[in-house]
Amino acid sequence: MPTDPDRPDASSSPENAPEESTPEERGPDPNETPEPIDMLAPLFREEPLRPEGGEAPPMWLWMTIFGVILFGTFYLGSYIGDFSADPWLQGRSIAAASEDEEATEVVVDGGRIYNNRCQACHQADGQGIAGQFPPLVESNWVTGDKGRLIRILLHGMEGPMEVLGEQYNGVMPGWQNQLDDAEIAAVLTHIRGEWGNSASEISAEEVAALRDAESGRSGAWSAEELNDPANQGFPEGADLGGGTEADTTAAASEATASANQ
Amino acid sequence: MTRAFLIFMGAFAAILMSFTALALVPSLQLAAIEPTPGTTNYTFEERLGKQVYMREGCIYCHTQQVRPNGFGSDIDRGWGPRGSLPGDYVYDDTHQLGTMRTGPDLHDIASRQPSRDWQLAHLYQPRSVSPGSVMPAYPYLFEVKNEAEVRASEVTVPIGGDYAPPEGQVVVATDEALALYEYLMTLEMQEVDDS
Repeated sequence: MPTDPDRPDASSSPENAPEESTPEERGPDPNETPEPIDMLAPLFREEPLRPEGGEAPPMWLWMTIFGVILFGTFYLGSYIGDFSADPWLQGRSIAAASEDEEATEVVVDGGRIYNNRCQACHQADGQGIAGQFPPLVESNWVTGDKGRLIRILLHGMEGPMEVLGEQYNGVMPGWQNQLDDAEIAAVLTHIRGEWGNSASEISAEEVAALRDAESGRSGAWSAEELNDPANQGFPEGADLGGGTEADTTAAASEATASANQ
Repeated sequence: MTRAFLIFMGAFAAILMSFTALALVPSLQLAAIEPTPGTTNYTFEERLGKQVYMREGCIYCHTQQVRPNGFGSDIDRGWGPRGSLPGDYVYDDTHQLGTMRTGPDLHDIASRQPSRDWQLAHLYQPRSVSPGSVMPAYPYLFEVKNEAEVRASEVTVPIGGDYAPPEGQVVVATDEALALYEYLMTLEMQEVDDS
């Protein structure tokens, strides 16, 4: 065995001695005369070195790749939405939702509408912000006359007003374009019954009646206008839905009385 | 470099594929999009407000895209009556869709929160109207000046509580703040037919 000049230690240490024993060490076999062909046996044991990069990937990898392609094709085919820019899924769900709405009565959650649209100014506790946005709690504007309150929601309100002894001078937007009758009724019922308020409910019919009666109005109300009894309560002969009328008129007259104090 | 041609063709194919999938096909799909009925092009002031919106980096915390039912809780949160449609953005030459939602989505903010008093006070100091808000304040869009110096044409912003200006002074909105408000008021989702 030739000595490697770069690794003198490796060749000299006994641990790194060559593992195959040479014929000289084994000694001659007395029973067998080696044929010349046997001496070439190590050559036949060797397989030729395969060129790199030509190995076939394992079967499981093929299966995974084809599985992914198959899944992707079906998924894309199912959800490509006619190759249109309009989200096909959404169109279907809109149509399905509106059909459902016709079939079942929709429950409008006044609390949720309040959180989305009113809470920013009037705050989660209904206390408003001193000097900026008036409170709804214990305010006669909320718990008092229904007609006045509905008018504020429909068309908004601006200018100086007094709430619980404090002066406010802001602008509240009207919501007649954003909210329908049932939604206005729900959110008003919510604020009239929340945070210790315990005024009567407001129905969608009552909102509809005032939306009709005041349909010509575009600007916001002022406190002065709304304290005029002509702009309170409901127009005569309005269809307010059965059952609530007696309650309504009682609350309205009571509120008018207190508002005019 | 014996395979230079092969490498070049591979790179070219990769670029061509991504260009087709990301640019060509979408532009073909979107070529015929009509504006959603009810949307209008920006006025001068609204466009100015959009510039302020972009300059102040509102997009880093606010998206302008409502996901449809079945793709999250956007509609349940009250962020809009429906999912956003391509026609909503026809007039947005630089769209502000956004990807991050540190704050709420603004695609329907004009419907949700049309009060100018609130919007301006909220821009001046978010904590004054929304306790605990993490939104930065933009006091440089406003001017604090003596009450006597306020001209009739100027818009004063009522600020109360801890953030109120010193006695005798008021907060006045600059043109930029008013333009930004006008831009925000364009962000309203229009009703669409189901068809």
